[in-house]
Amino acid sequence: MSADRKEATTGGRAGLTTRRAWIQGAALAWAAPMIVPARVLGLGGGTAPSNRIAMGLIGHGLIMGGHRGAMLGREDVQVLAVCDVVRSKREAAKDETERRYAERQGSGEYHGCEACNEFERVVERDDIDAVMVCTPDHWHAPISIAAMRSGKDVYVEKPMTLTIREGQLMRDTARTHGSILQVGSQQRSESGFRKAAEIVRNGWIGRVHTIYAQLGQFAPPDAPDPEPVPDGFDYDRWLGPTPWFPYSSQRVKGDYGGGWRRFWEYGSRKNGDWGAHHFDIIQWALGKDESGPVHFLPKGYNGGAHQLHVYEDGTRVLRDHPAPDGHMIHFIGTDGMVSVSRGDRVATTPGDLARAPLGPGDVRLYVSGDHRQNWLDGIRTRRPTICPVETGHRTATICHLSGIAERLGRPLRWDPEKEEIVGDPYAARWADRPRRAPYFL
Amino acid sequence: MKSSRSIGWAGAGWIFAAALVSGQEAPRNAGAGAGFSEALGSKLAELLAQAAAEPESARYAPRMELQALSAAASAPAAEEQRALWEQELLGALPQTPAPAAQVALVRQLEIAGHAAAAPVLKSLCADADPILRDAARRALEANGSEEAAAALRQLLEEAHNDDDRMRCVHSLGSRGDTGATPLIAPLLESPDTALRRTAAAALGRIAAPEAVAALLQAYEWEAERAWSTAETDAGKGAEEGETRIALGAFRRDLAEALFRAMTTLRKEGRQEEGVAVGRRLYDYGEPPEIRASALRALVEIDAPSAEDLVIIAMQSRDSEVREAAIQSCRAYPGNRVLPNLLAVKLAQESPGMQRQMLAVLRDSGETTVTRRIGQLLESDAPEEVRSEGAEVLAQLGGIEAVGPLLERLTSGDRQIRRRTLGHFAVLTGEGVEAELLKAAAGGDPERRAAAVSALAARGAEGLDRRLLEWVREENPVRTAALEALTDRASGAVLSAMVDLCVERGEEEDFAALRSVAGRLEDREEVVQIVSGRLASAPAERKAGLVMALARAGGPAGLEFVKPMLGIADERAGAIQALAAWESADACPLILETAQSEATAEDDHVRLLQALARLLRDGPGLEADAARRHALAGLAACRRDEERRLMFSVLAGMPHGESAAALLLFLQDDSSGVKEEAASALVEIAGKMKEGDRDAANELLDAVAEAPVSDEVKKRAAELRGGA
Repeated sequence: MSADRKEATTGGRAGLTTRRAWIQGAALAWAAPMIVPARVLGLGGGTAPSNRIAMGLIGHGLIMGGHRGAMLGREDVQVLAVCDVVRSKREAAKDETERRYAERQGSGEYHGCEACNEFERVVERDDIDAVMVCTPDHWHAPISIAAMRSGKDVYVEKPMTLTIREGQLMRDTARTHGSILQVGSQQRSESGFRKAAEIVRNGWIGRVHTIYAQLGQFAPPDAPDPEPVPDGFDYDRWLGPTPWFPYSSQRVKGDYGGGWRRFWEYGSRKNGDWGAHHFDIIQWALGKDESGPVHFLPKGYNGGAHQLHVYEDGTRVLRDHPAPDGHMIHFIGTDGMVSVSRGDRVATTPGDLARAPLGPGDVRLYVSGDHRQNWLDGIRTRRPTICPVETGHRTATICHLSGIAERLGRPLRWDPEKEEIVGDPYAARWADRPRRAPYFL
Repeated sequence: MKSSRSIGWAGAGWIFAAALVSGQEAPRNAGAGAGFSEALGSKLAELLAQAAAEPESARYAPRMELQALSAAASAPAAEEQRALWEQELLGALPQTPAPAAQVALVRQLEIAGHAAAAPVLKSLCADADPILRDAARRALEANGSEEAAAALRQLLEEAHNDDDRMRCVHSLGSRGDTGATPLIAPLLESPDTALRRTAAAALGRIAAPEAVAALLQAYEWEAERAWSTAETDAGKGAEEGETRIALGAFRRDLAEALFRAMTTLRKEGRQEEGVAVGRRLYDYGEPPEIRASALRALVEIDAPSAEDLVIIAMQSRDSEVREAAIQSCRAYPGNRVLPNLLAVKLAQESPGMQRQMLAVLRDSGETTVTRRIGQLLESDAPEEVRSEGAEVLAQLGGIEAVGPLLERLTSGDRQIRRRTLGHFAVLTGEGVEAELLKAAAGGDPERRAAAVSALAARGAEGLDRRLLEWVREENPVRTAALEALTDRASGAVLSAMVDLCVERGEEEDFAALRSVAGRLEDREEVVQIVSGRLASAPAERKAGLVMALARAGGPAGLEFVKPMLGIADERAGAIQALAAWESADACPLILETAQSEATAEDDHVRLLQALARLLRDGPGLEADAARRHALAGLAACRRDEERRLMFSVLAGMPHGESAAALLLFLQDDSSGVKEEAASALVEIAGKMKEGDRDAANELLDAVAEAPVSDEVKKRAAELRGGA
């Protein structure tokens, strides 16, 4: 086959993968300025544009604010496109991007950032290497899958998916395309959580049998009264694959204390919002990143005061059971306890475990000091991230099964190997959610 | 109500539902069923009416009640109850005209509907309301009955437009309905792009043999079409070129569908069929990115049989395929061949690929690759790659890592050296220490010095004795040993260092001695060890030894400095030590020495500087004692520069005595002295104003009247106003 004819069959994507390979090599030049002075790489002494990871940022709500600021502050990243179904948000993101780059160039002017309503326009661009997906949960999988199929690497916010089936599809897609995917469970990149997980994993508190996880509560969902769809808001696309409901600002609001997060249609409420963090750490600590619990019991079942899930060996995870000193996660073992919270707060019984160094034979968990940096490193070295697709899928599965048990008001049995709800065919329907046309996967 | 047949009441979920509906205990025998059914029907009618009520916010609670009933009815081992509920729902539908209530009802059928619901849902798929239509289609999709599948197939056959076809195709695909294959396969030829793509995805999910065959056939057709179009388009305009790309896009969709089919085949235990699909997509004529994905999929579906492909793919001229091969090595934990093959190819690859290979080698844990990585470290690869290689070597461990890492230690770059010492600190493996000791024992001096540093970084046991031997050698071994000894401060090391200083007495030795003395916490031990050799040490060595005492500080060491001040040959060294003393215990002796007329001008300045340093920063002095020393120091000053230095010390001591001493200088002949004294007074006033405003104002008034600059007066006035 001649080179020309071969190129003709590959379309634009050939250029994409070539660019990916090239970036990995070219990155070395700017990553080691002592070897190649930055000034010879162009752009006013900074990193050459062609050596940067070209990025698309999708979904400009609360969490993207931090990500966008971090990415715009990096010399090794160039944001080429921003996307949101709300015109004012995408325009503001574009303005901020162009202002920051104009300042960086010192020219006072920059016009290289595209603002899109449709994510497809971002993922189809051959010159974009990676995307960050920070939409509400129901858009995580469709966008991530499309991006990976277009040869892009993905940072997707937690929980990774809306349904178990979506997670399986994301995993298959990432594996087939060799994508570097990071789920935004950034607690894995906090040393305190790693330390707690290592204490558990190495048996320093004996056999762990009970774990408390503090997820908190949202206000109950409701049916807010309809309002006119604001100008510049693509509401149909915001709803995407979820059932149609009339527009309400309460329904679409980005709010860590509620907003869209409290509706079942767009996630698994607190089980998804905080379970994605704490259940994730528990999976890590128990060494279950490629497996999961086998029983899920909703709060109130048989008079139980707490939602609960149980692993094969009997280890129980109780939601919202009070923990000492208000800690987020509390592990109880046969020989001690460890509690852990954000801000590297770790407390142990016996009291000196958190300071004890790991011994030569101890399990050492994957170390990441910065969740975004870990993803960017992965893009260059193709090393799996600290929270890759399988891990994110397994954690999200726990979130979803907890939510399904709550909504059905009955316990579920789960086979983590076959990834099936066992003995309950009608509950098994909930492993996926039929998608509203035309937002199919 | 249509359904009033008797049923058994066994399911715990249904008991819950009964309580929810009637507020009373659920019937537990067949004879009681009819009454409950009526109650259930009434409740359903009531909830459906509420589900369509205005305002919208009133609809939520009934929707949730309906869902709870559907959930309860669909509990395991309660088929009769579920069937009753399904009948109730279907019976209620004709009496439910409001669209919102209909949608709510259909949602219940999505949760609990089965065969009986299929015809009704099928008819609703033709409703005029698009929201209800789509809800019905979703309910059919979730419905596990063969009747629902048949209904969807009929809908597909009867559909009048491509949008409706696409919806049916998607739902049939989601169900994995093999029976739909003959209906969907022809749609791969549809002129509607979206329908074509949906059909391909659905067939990939179904993955029946006929579905896979249809996809493969379409893939071949697309390949042919792309080729012929590419030939036809040669030399033509952009418009034709765009057509060609669009066709290529569908080919990629087909490939995606085939990859999806491979996953399904793997899960269904049909590996052989999956491998056949993968082999077809991995064909040499395929675009590299398709081949790369096919290789990954083949490894996923049957890793052992794909190992040969991975090995061959490492040689591919396409970087995408090579990259897939490299990453695929992760699928073979414990395999020793693949990491070694990667290692062999390491030197031939681009820097970007080398980084990928190193990441894989690191995670492989295979120690036999260290020699190759070591060669990479010694090559002209970019520093970033070599740095990563060094890290991988350190993590893999083993004796082979020692040589290349030692080489990096000799590079002279401080950052590389620091990182490499860190690598040595964690390097594991049998014989590593022995290898380092061997390297330190003889050979190239630079390499020997590196080995000494590496041994020290590892905290090797019993090293002190060797280090003390090596410090007697020539540089660079000596320097490395001295640095190592400094980091391993102990009484024994200090004692040996004192001996070395007395014996050889080079500045490098004394610097190390001072460092060790400063790091030891037990001052008395330092004094005991150093002073023990002072008496017998040659005069020219004593100065260096007392500097070690100065670094340790404390009162005991001063006892050995004091007599040296009276000996002409030793006085300079003693003054130098006093000037460097680390604790305020030295203040009285510093003052006494400064007050002596025998003290030379330079030494005098040095001593007052030391006094100022200790009074400002030195720990352990009471405020009154510090002020007394400062006033004495001021009195001992010989030059204006010294006085100004002491003014700055007194400025930090807000007290009447300090102020009184400074006031005397407001009329000094030197304008610089006046200015500094006034500034110090303003500073004192600022500190005093909270506790003694009158006294502070008095000082500020004095400054205001003194012959000093307007700037100082202005500051005084501002403070006065504020005070």
